[in-house]
Amino acid sequence: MLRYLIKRLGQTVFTLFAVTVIVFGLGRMTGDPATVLMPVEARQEDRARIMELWGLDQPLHVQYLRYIGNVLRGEFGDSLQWPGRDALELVLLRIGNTLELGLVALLFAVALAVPIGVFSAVYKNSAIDHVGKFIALLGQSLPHFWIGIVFIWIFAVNLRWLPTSGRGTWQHLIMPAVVIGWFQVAALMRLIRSAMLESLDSEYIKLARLKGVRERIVIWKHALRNAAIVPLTYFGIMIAYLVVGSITTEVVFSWPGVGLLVVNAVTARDFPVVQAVTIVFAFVIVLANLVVDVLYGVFDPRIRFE
Amino acid sequence: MLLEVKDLRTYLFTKRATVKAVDGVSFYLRRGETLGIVGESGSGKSIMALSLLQMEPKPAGRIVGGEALFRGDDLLRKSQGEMRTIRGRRISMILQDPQTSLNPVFTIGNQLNEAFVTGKQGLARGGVRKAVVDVLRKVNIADPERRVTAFPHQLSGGMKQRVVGAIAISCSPDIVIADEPTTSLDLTIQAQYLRLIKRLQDTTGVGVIFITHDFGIVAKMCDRVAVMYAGKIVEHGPVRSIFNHPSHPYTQALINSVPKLEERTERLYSIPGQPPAPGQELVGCRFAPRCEFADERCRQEYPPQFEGLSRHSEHTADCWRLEDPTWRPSRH
Amino acid sequence: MREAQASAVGAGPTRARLAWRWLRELPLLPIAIILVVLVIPAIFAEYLAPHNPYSGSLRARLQPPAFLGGPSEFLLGTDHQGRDIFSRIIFGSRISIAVAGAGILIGGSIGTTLGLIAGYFRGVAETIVTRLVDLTLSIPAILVALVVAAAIGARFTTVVAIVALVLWAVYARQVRAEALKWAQSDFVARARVAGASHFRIIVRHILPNIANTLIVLSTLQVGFVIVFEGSLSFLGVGIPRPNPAWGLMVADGRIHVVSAWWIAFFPGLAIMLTVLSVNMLGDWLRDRLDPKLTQV
Ligand SMILES: Nc1ncnc2c1ncn2[C@@H]1O[C@H](COP(=O)(O)OP(=O)(O)O)[C@@H](O)[C@H]1O
Ligand SMILES: [Mg+2]
Repeated sequence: MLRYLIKRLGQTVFTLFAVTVIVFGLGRMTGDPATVLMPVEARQEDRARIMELWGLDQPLHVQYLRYIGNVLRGEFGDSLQWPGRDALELVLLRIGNTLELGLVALLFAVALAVPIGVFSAVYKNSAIDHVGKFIALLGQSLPHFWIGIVFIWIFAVNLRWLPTSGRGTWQHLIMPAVVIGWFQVAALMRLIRSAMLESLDSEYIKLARLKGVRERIVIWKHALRNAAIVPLTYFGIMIAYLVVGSITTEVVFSWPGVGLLVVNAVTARDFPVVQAVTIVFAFVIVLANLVVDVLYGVFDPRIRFE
Repeated sequence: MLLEVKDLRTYLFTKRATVKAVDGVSFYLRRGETLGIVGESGSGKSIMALSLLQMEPKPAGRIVGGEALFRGDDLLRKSQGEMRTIRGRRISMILQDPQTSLNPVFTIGNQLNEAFVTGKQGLARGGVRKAVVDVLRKVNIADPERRVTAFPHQLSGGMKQRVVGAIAISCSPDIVIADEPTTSLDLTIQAQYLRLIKRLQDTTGVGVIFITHDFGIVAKMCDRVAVMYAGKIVEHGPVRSIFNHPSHPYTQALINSVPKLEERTERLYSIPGQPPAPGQELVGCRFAPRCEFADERCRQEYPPQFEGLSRHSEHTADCWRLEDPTWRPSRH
Repeated sequence: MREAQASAVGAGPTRARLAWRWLRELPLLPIAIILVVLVIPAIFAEYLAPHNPYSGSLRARLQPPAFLGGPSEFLLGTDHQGRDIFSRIIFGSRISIAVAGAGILIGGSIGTTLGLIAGYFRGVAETIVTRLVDLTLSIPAILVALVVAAAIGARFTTVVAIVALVLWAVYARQVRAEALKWAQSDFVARARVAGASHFRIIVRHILPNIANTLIVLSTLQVGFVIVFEGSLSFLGVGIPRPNPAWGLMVADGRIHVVSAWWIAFFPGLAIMLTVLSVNMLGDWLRDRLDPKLTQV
């Protein structure tokens, strides 16, 4: 387990390093990073301060080291859009809202995908299997940003059941969470179905039945516990999709999270904030992947004891 | 009579063809007795054993006929709910591959608990734990208190198979079906395991159906033996009688293919030809295409059962050749 | 190559028969939708569109669709600038096809090449490629798109580049696995004994055998690219205004959803119909050509 964790930690560091290189490179691709990192109307002393912060008069490798140092200390500079506000602070103020939405969406997805996936494997080729297949196909074809607007039009504008946008009550959470979770349902369900089919066909399921274990327990304990390991390996990719989903969905529902912040920052060409968001997002994703890997060990004793 | 199976038929309805995996099998098992079922792989032994517990591979497999009287009750007419109370408690089974027959994500204690809890309601929690340790000790697992918390991958193949054996005997069943329990173990472990089964049987008096493709093991383990080929039992009788006077050419071939230590032959005799392909429509004797004695009638018509071979009332075989009394083996 | 085809087709029915059976089983509805919503409008946009997609008159702002009582000249209504939504959707299909086509072509070629090299030569090349693939797949492309847009602004080329950046990894992963398998096959060994060069073996022996995988994979990516480009455009980091990109049109309609829902609805419907159809076609192809291709 320890060796496994150390190996994963190494990969994590490598990924983070790569992210910083990409962001660093893109920020300097325009030729004159000063224009990217500074508001057009910057005064002379601001200009000097930013040049100093990022070491823009130094050779590239020194700039990178400076940049890494800044990133590690959490110094991304002030927001250009809201002068005087620290970019990282703006991000950290909103990250909780984004995580809240993402978590609820994930719960929704799991709550829906697990039963559908299990039942469509247990009753293969039955009505529920076909319905599940269609849900999966539809889920992968619906653009988040559009279905969100359609939901608003139906449930908020016409039926007036739910608030159109913003954050506050639990009602505010429903539509954005469903919109993000929808896509995950499709992918997760397919994975669980195929993993369940494989698991149900195994010898240990045969032996469990031969022991006289109830079919309910055979399916939900023996088969599902094994089948659950497979989707876990795809969680990294799913989290990446969750980020994509949360960014467009936050815009649609004006959810005051990091996604909305970064899109506004891009529109305002507020590069320090974009940079801070990207790095924070990368950290969250990488961290989530690490947590998943630990969970993976918990779920699969063969790894835990390696 | 503990178990009496009559004309059991289990067919597999696959997309391509109907496979008559078990095609009219009859046998019986007495209390405390070991019956061997021998045959090449693919002859339908596993499907036959699973059918007795209504566990034929679904949805392809279906029991289409016959009866299996367990203490006078037909197992094949019971509902799945009733079967659940019989599986593991009255009739249990040991599967071929210990590597895959234990659930990798649960401790062996957990998996044994389950056998006890589903088997015996009313055992207190402490009682279950003690029972688990006891049964592990019974199958010669050293340090059973500690092993309870182990996961399957932490045990060797032989140990895993002993755990599967422990699960099988946990509820003191009347019958244990062992489906090639030692095929995937190496030779010394195999011998140990066979001794264990033998000892458990001697002490508990359980009836054992021992499935194998190895006549050598039959000689060590069984009282009686039924030889199965392509879904049918072609010869049956007491082990001594079968070994001394094999009457069906297939049985003779199987016995010849057992490596004899004392002869130190380098070349193993193996039966020429292939068993019939699954789903192939068969008339006449199933073995005819590979049989050196087969004639036209063998290929056209299934032979009747000849009884009382080698002057033993229980020794039967299905072979046209036995029509001619000179071919019937007799005791010297 | 010959052997590969022989083993794929087998000694069964003739080629013509097989082709006929294929044609009869084609999923007609998805194909029809793809043609009607995506392909035909893209080719004949100038002839099909009743109005100029780029300009409208402010007097004709926010008109409802013709079938809901709006003026008969605007089939699907008009947007906040009085532009005809029907015409814009027709011209928008060109953007979707162009981004998907260019992105898949570039990303697919790079990914296939690297996948072939990794799977055939193994060794260091394989290690590097698989590492890079893992890395690429673990960074959400949308973040890269945001950074690029903030740094150098959004335009068609950056969108294609970002699409290619995601796709190369998907292709490389799949192709490597396939190439690995075929590189160990008998006929590759024979070709090697016969003195064929590595290049020739890869191009003449391995590539034809993974063609099916590539076709299925590419079909399944079309839907992804269209939704992805739509998302970028919707966020304002994809195709720039005033181009009639479908995602951009949905973004324009968002603030008018209370008064003029059709502005956002119809372009999104076009995305959904196309993507659903392409995915159905992809599923169908996968079942025929490459049942083993992993899902998700
Ligand atoms: N799940 C299944 N689906 C289809 N055919 C099967 C299945 N399981 C076994 N068979 C076929 O049934 C026949 C008997 O198999 P089996 O009982 O496993 O033989 P044995 O145990 O004697 O080796 C074989 O021909 C095998 O191919
Ligand atoms: Mg078997």
